[in-house]
Amino acid sequence: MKLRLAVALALVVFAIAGCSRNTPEAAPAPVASNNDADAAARARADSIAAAELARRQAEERALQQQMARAQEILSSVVLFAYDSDELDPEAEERLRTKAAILRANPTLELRVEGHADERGSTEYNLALGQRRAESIRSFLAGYGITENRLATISYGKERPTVMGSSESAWRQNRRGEFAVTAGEISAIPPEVR
Amino acid sequence: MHLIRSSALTIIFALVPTFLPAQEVEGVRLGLRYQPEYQPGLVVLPFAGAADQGRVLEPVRGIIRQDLDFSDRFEMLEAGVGVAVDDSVNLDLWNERGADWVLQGELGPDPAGGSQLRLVLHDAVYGTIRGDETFLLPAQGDPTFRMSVHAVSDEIVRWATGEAGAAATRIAFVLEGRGSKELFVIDYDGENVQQLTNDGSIALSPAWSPEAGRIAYTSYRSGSPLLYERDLGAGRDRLISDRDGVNITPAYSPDGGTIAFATSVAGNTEVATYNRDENCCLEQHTRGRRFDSLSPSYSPDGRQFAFVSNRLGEPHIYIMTVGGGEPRLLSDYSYGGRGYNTSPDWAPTGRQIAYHGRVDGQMQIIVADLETDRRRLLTAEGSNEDPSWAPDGRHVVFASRDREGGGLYIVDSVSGRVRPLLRGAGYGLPDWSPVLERAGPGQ
Repeated sequence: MKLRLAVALALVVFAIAGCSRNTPEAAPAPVASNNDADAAARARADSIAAAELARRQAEERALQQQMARAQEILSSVVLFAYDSDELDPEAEERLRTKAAILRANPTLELRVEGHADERGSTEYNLALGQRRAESIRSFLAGYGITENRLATISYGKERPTVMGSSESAWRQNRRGEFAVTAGEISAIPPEVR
Repeated sequence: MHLIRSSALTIIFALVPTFLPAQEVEGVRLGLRYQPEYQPGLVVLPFAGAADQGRVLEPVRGIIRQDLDFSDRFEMLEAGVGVAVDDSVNLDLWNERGADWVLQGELGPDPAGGSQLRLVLHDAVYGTIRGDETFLLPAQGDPTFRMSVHAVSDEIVRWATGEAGAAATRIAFVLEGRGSKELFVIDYDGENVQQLTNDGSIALSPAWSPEAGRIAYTSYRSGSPLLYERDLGAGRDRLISDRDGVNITPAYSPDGGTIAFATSVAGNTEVATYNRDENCCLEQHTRGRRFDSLSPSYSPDGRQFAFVSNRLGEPHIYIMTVGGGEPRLLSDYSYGGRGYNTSPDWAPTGRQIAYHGRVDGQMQIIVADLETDRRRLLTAEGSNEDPSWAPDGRHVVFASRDREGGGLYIVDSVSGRVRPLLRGAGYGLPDWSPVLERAGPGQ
């Protein structure tokens, strides 16, 4: 973005410099002077258009980046402690931003997936995963997202994101995941800008 | 060093107290000793047979001998080489060699194409005949052949002990493949594996119906965990529950008319029942306030069920009366003790409930005796989960994670003897069938 802006500015400066350099030669002939004036006007208009284009492109780029960021925030995972469905401050902060995106884009619908680490029984972890998904859903509901926009599903410990039996793997596997099931992001809330 | 072998007949499992974590509560008696049990000696003599029965003699005898061994009721003696196949049996000689029981068999042709198997069980101590019957067996190539022989074995166990064996049974289980879990069944002796699902999805928690014609289970094949019932005869599924959230951990009532399972109600997982005969009437049995209830298992009289609840903040086993009442805590709880007890299975004989719980950082199979209120460990090695009782109320199948690379194992809860059913990674959630066949006398 900065590079684009610099190029645009350089173009403007170049155009102005070009104008001033032409001025002394063009003075004697009125016709020529007219032509020179037209050329100068055209150059100015072109430079304004170029600057405008550059600005629009920059804006577009910024918007794209914000969209990408919103998308990323929307699908980012939320982690949980062992055998817990409680949301820690970091998880809550993330969910508040998700809620803002959902509010700004009322057609968006999500599937919230609850997952558990490999420890503990298959069956109990199904209930735990469901509880995690429900915990996320009710938190988002508290920020004005109607529950019918949020489907929940538990995968228990059946779909680990990281294989292995380390603390780190367990930590990353105790998670809530988010998948967009309807709508798309078109508006960016201030929280993401 | 948890295992002390004091003699060939006596196996005592004991947890060395110093190996227990310090937070183990006073009065908790995990790791009770197995009763050293005297196992009567039994010999299966070579079977006599008509000339056309020659090919069937050893297979039939071999299955019966292995079934009697797997019943864990006898010390199996070798018949030895050169033992004459004769009408007369020298009981005194066998008694001297340590046999309390002598089984004599004779195979003859059956007009229907199979065989007639006459079996005589001699009591070598008192010199009497304990059982003498002729059984009809299908031809060896018949798919029901092995199960028919198993049923005969169960009858021999009944002659000797008064209680039938559990050889004529199968075990349903789940096997993890590449990103999927499929449902299988296998004979109790490791023969005849059969795949029930093949949809690349996640199938979980198979549960046999009491008449063994159906298996209830959970599958993700529609996208969410829904409850289905497989008709084993027709090979077809029907949907039992597709409620939002989870539809998991089914168990049949003893009369087969009701399926208890766990499903999402108002943000909690609750135990509910479904009337499968009338195809209706979902009934909620537990009420959680920010806690879950799941994995129901009926008592044999169908009046109570054991289940898992985390109402104390960690999963424990509870018992409650069907239709209401306050749940009663069964597993050991100590405040701040980080207990973890799940997957209860009520023994068909009624007195015991098996489950798995965390002991010393590992999951172990625990049996709670409802009369004495005592708990004992059935396993002490590796990580072991999801026990399921055989219909004899004595053997338990479970999934092991690191024992010899993992797999499904069967333990005799009386002697502590363990044998592998299937070895390898990815086996889980076994459920032992009811008795599939009873041997009837032929002709």
